[in-house]
Amino acid sequence: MTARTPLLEITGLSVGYGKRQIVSDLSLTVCEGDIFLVLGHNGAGKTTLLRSLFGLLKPSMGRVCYHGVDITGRSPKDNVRDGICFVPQGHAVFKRLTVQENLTLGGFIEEDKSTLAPRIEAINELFPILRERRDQMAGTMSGGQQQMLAIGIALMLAPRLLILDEPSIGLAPNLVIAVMDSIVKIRQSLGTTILMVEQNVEKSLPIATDTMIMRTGRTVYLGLPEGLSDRATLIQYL
Amino acid sequence: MDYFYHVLVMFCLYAILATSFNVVIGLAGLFALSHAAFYAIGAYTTAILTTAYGVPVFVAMAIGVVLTAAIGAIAALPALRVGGHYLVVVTLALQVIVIDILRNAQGLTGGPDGISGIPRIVMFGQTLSTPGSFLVLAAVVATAVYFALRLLAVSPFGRALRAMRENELAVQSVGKNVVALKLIAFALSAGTAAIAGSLLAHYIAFVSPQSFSIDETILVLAMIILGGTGNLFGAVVGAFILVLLPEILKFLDLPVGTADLMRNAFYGLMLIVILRFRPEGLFPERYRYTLPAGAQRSAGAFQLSPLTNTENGTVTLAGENLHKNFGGIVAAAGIDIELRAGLVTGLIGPNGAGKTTAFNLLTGFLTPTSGTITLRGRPITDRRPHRIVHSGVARSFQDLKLFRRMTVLENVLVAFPNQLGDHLHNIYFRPGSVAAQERANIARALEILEFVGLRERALEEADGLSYAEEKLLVIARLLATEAEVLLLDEPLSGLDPNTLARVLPIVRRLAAQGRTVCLIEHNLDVIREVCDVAAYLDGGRVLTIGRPDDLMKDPQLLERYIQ
Amino acid sequence: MDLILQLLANGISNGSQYALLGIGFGLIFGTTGIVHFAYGPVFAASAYVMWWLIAALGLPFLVAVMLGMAFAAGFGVLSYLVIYEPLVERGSPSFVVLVASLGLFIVIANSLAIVFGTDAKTLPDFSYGIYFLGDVVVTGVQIAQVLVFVAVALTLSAFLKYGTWGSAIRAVTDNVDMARIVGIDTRKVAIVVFAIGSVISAIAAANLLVREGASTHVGFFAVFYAFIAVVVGGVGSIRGAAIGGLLLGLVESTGMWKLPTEWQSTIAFLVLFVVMLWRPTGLLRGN
Repeated sequence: MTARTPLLEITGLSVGYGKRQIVSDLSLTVCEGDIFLVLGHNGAGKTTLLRSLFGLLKPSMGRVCYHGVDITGRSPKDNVRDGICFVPQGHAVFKRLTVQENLTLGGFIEEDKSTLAPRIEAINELFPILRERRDQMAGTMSGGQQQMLAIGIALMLAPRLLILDEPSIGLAPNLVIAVMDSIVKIRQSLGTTILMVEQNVEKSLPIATDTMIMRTGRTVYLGLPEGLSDRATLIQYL
Repeated sequence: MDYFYHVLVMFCLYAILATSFNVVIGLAGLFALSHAAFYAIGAYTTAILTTAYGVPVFVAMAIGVVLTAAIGAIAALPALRVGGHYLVVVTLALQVIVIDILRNAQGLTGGPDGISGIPRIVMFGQTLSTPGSFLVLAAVVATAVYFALRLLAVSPFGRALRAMRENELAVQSVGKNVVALKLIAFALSAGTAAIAGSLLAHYIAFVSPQSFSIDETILVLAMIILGGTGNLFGAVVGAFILVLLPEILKFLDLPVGTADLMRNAFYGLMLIVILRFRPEGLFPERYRYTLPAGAQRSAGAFQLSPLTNTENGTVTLAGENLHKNFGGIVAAAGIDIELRAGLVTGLIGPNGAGKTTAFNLLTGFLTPTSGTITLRGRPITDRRPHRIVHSGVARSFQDLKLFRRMTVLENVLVAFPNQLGDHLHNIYFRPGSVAAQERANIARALEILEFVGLRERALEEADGLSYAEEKLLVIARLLATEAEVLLLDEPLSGLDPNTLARVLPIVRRLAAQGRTVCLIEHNLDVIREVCDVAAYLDGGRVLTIGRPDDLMKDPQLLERYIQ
Repeated sequence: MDLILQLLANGISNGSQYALLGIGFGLIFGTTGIVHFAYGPVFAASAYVMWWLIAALGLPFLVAVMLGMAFAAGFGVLSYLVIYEPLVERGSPSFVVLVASLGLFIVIANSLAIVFGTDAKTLPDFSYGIYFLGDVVVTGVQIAQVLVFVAVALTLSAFLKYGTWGSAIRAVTDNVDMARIVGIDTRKVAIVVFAIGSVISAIAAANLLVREGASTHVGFFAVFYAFIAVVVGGVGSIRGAAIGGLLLGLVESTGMWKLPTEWQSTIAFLVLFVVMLWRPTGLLRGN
């Protein structure tokens, strides 16, 4: 059992404007090797939380530290350069570009371009359908395939911290299992730490090492997934 | 002194132009750049009719106004299909075409030299040939226009325009016909600009294409932006400032041509500065920030009227084998659903399963790729959303779609059905009835707000509500539609137990009173407590239907969805 | 028959100019979403600057054109940094950005008229050849216009297809949110497209200068034709803007067969109306 080193520390984070605080005074710590699961109802502020961590939104208050360095409000490109990658909600891909071009763009800021081809190969191993559809326009693929491409894009930089916003949304149950399995594989083979928002409690809870439940912008539960094994407790929070 | 009167006459004309343009830009939120073209059509129509055809002045002016209003409605047609920059380019094109016609149709319009010798207006035996005498007419007309448009702006029609600006989908979901709203807004705005044009023609007795270029539209736009879009009084103030300010340039000794150019450049600069530092302009938009005394007093306790015409258990809204594809994405793969009066049906299933798609299909927001939708047995598959609302079916949205820059009270008011004030002829010919109904509606709206616990917030902007309050407002807005069939998309997610305890009985009572209720929810305890029937959707299809308790014991379901 | 060929030749030549303006404007609009109305006045200003460099300073033509291109690039980038970027950063709705653009349009257009006056500034010493293809007459300028357009279009296409900046621009055009997420500096991309788009307009300005000289009203028509070309062809597609421009040129030219010259522009705008009602997202765009 390795010691848990904090990778991402969030303290007192609030995001919103004026009277509308979408995230209020939120704190959590993600340690290296974690699969940190964030749950909550629609509209709880989960997406806002992730987007503000990644730098797409500016927090109104609070601090975000990565490796002990304050990265609060830092721009996405600086975060990406530092090994933090983000998979936004809703199969976010470049719809009018091919699968190959999409993946290549994932490695846009990679200075050593020779690492890209092997990484694309590894991603194809993880999601074989992407190899088949190499030259197909991303927008013409099915929702599930686009979602796999979206994850693939984020893997192109072999990130240390991978942030995912509802990766299983709209996917058929067997695909959800595939996505969850691949997340576990990513963590195993690349040593990537995972911070993930999910709606599908049943499939995501088993792979989580830590959980947080949000309701209307605040934390209502923060702890080990075992604490939620009882459905009654779970429903109470959601 | 004459010159001073002249400036005031121009101010009156621009006040008419600015207020009418503000109806389209500020109230309706439609970005059209063709206002100077309508100004021109009004001016030229009366000029041509009076000079070439000897038509009496007032008749010619009236024809000009009606013609321009008609052209305005035609100009709105592209606005129905496209928005944003497309509308900009199309209205810009209209502007250019009109000027082109004015410049080129020499026979009709006198070409670049324009038409001169336009007869003056004669009123009560007086020929209005001096600025001073014309000023009286101009001021009277400008005042009349201002009050007429103001009456429109505060009426239910004006409220519908603003709600459309805030959220076009939501305004359809409360039964407003956006096609009619857009056409009328454009026609009204164009016709009013023509009034100013007609006055101009008979005041200066000369029209030429130069006065009606795109620069003119931008000038009027600057007046609205300066004054505050959406605020008609602001538009008048903006007109005043921008007509008067360049007069100061007269004190500088500039060659004639340059003065105009400098004035225009100044307008442009001012526009940039305002947008940078105070984009909302001088006067913010404020509607319905006070309550009429009568309304406060007559507000009692909210009564849900029971429905007696439908027997409990009859199928009201139903969808059969509904499919919906978007390119590669399959949103619905054969949904079969029947909603019955007196029952609360729950739709459960993972995100992306097709629940909201089902709602969109049933309420006309999406057209099915195949399949049929019926209401009380009659097909409504291709009916537009607002017509479906009139038939008694209303829905809420998962992402709320509140009218953010309107007050809480207005959010509820806009949803009432059968408002006399939605129709122009009532606003102007039956203002008393409209006002009376408005007072009654305000009272009823206050009752509904009291019922959901938002009474204190009635006069606040919806933008400032907390999350739970927003969800309560969504319910209030839905109650206001008085619809028989209510589809609620995640109305309760994220509500704390106290609010939940207050809201759940409302849902139950709606059904008990004979209404058809359908809910999308993720909270299974809520489903069990409130629903008579539950349908489980996955992969765009309804997989199981039954009583909530039975559903939740289904092993397949347990495996896929519930823990 | 010869008349048709002549009209075709004129149409292609004019269409090339519209297409050139279209691809520059379209690059800016498609990538940043900003309707850069001031594009027209910047185009006009470039023409004036080039004229002045040649007529007043006696610089050789190509040098003046190069300097004109640099001027346009600088002006375009400055417009973005000073006017548009602060508004976009603040989260202003696109309507506000558009009105600001109109404001800039008016400021520049009127300032040009104040500085240079309203008469056209031509290059009297410039002579061009006249060529006969059968009975069809084409001037050297017309041929040059077509060649210049083809050269610029091919260069731009290649630039977008290969190379890092090209991918970055295409990414931002497709999905600006995703582009940010993969680490692309969208601000730099905006600056680059404003520069390139403005340079392209300067090239078109050189064409104009040679053909008819610089005058103040050209600014409006330039941006207007460019806007139509882009909308007709489909926003975000360079090929679409090019086809839109050529189509405009051809329809305008054909219209002249039956209608007097003054009605040219009206026809073009009618093309727009028809396309808008039939295929609102443009000819080349998908659904």
